[in-house]
Amino acid sequence: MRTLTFIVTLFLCLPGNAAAYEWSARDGFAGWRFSNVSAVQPTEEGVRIFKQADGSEFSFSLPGGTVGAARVVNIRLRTMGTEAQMACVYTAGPNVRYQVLPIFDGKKWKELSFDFTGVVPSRVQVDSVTFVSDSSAPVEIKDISIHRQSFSDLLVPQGLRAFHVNSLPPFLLFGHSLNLWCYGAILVASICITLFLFLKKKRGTLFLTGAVFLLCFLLISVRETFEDFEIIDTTYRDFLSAPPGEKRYHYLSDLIDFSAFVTRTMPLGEKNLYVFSDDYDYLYLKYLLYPLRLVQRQKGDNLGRVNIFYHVGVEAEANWLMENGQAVARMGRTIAYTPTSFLYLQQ
Amino acid sequence: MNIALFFLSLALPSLAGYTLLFKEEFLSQGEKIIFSFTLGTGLLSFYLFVLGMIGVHFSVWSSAVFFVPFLTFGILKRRDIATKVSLSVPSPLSGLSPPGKALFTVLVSLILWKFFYMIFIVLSSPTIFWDAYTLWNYKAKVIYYAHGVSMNPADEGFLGGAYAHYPLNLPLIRAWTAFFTGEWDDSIVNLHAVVLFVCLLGLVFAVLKKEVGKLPAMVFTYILTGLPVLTYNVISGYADIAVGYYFLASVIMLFYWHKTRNNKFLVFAGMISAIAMFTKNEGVAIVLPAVFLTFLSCLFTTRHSWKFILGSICSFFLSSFIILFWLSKSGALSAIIEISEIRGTRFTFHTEGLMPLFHHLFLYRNFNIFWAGVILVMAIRWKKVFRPDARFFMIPALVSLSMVLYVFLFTSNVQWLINGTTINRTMVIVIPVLLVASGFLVAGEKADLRGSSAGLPPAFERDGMK
Repeated sequence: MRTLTFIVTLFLCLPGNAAAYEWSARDGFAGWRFSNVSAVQPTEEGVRIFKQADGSEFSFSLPGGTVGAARVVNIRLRTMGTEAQMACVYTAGPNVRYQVLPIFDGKKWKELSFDFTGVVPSRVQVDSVTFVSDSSAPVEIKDISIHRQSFSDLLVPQGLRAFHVNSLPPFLLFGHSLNLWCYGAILVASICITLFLFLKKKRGTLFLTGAVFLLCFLLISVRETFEDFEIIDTTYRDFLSAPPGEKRYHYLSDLIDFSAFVTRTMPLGEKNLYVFSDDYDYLYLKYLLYPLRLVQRQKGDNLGRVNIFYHVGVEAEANWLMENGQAVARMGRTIAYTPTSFLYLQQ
Repeated sequence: MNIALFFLSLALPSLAGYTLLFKEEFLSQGEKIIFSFTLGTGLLSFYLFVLGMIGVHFSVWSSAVFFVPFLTFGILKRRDIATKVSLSVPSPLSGLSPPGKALFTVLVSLILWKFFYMIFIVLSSPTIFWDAYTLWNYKAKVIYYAHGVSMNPADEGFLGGAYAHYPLNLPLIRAWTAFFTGEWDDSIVNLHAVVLFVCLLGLVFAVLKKEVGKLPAMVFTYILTGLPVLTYNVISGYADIAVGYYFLASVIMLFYWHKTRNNKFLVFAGMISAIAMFTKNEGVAIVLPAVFLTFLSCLFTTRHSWKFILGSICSFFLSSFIILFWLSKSGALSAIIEISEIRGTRFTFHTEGLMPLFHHLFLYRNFNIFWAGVILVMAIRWKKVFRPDARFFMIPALVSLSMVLYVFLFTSNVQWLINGTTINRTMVIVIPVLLVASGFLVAGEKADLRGSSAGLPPAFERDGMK
């Protein structure tokens, strides 16, 4: 039994967590290249990167020649910016590949894993790894590691899965779905069991093959259980420990806070709201604010008595509506949640 | 306090449903509770819909009318009910070997963890999934605030205010729970899906325990819990898990009718089929054909008199006639025909859907390795696939699977298969019945093992006793 445990442990560590590249905040930024970054500020646990005010995204690249041929890029970060994404651009010879993952906002550290195994030919050296983000708030980085794929990658949580109610991406092991590995194990075990029982002239194939199947099923299911625990832990730290106005579940969290703001501040007795937003935001506001009657409007349409503007390129400045720096209306009163999400009351 | 009121809002119709079932000794106590909940809440939602049809709003008095006949019956039969109620709970580990006890405990722990996870997410999160806030919960909220279902097509709240051809069972039950607790609270209302999931697991365990034994039944129940797409369907407030549950419940009732020849089970099967059709339009397109074909196969593969056959067909359809209230008022039927593309010449085999289907079923995480397990069981036990008992669940499972694959591979709905937005949760409807069918195929394996290893002839299988 001890031998088996040793072999399993050894197997799980191979080809090892030996990282080709590891970085944490105390290592500094020698050789890093920044683009559209206004400041880099050390914090207690990491470094905070601030985007230029007039830019839509910022990026930073790791020094070239330090990564070898490692293909799995892990980065731990957090941001309070909603609907933020992080892209990893991986350049190895003539191969330029990128992957984009959402960053769920909140105070909990999130680990993003970009796996380029199988996407880029093996043994081709990495020229550069660049991270690009469009987060509206500063992004704080805790650590980065780049290594060859190992079994331990299965233990990297893939984060909150609010988006994936319909389609969950596979856990990958050396570039192949973990399911596929399990099928292989069941197939090999089934053949061995059948041969063994045939030679011994016994029955019981389904029972024994079923035991192998259950073992493989449990392996994947227990992995999911660890992920579920991570989701609860994240939900707890992000939500229950966040101050009022910063509670985060999901990319719709800001809309939930905003609708609570609307309910608190809209004039008493009003039942109709004119909503200037995109279709998805409108539908969610329609649900949150029901039984208030919401009427969807496009930018440029006539205003109603009570209007909601939510991220449609119109800003509130004092009691003016501003679009591209030009004033478009001043007949009412603004009650702002943020400069781009506010109530506008026609007088 | 709201959680207590929520459970009370579901307990009351369940008690009403219990008065229909308490005499059925073939059902275990657990099955009686589960089926009471199914029938009671389903009949209540039909009643609330009929209230809307006659222009009566929700109120304490109009709701109380529903409970009066059941309460009256319950009072008249109180002594009989008291003798049937058993409060004793058998030890879950009794009869198991030590390794069996260990495995049973591990599986129960993992299932309990899943529940804790689902309940935590439901109670701490608002409704954030598209179908829930644009359709199911939105309609429930409209009905709650309007204190009833509007039947006026000119009204903004007509049949729930969104997607008028989508059925109203879930919105009505959620509106009812909100009405009972006195406020609309997303977290409390969404607990209904967790309750449905508990009932689903309970049913799977109860029916398989009779056929394959306690430990294998727990293994199959755990397999159901270990499918991520089911868990997320519960958390997200979608309706597919509910349809899958009603589908299984209806087939089980039909199975019990087949075993006992007690026509009450046939009537219950018809009623639950109607509830399934009132939950989602897939109930009409998938559940009804599958259940009806199973019913017909049972009728015509064993010898019965024509009187019995006609009587059974009438009983089944009469018991599901309540769905006609919904079908007559909504555009559901025409919507189903439109989506299924059975009119016109749009019948085309979309081969481009085969690889995405393979990926979604076998390689992604949605179903763990469930589909491979089903194929394994069917391959090894292929001789038993259409024997009695196993056939009873294989027929509805295969018919419903065929209907789903038809829609996604032979119509323009292949686009939803390729982009993965609908195929996985539609399979949730089929999975519970398919899982139970696989369980029936496994039945008899251990008896075979004991017989052959002791040098005795293999144990005479239950299937062969017919």
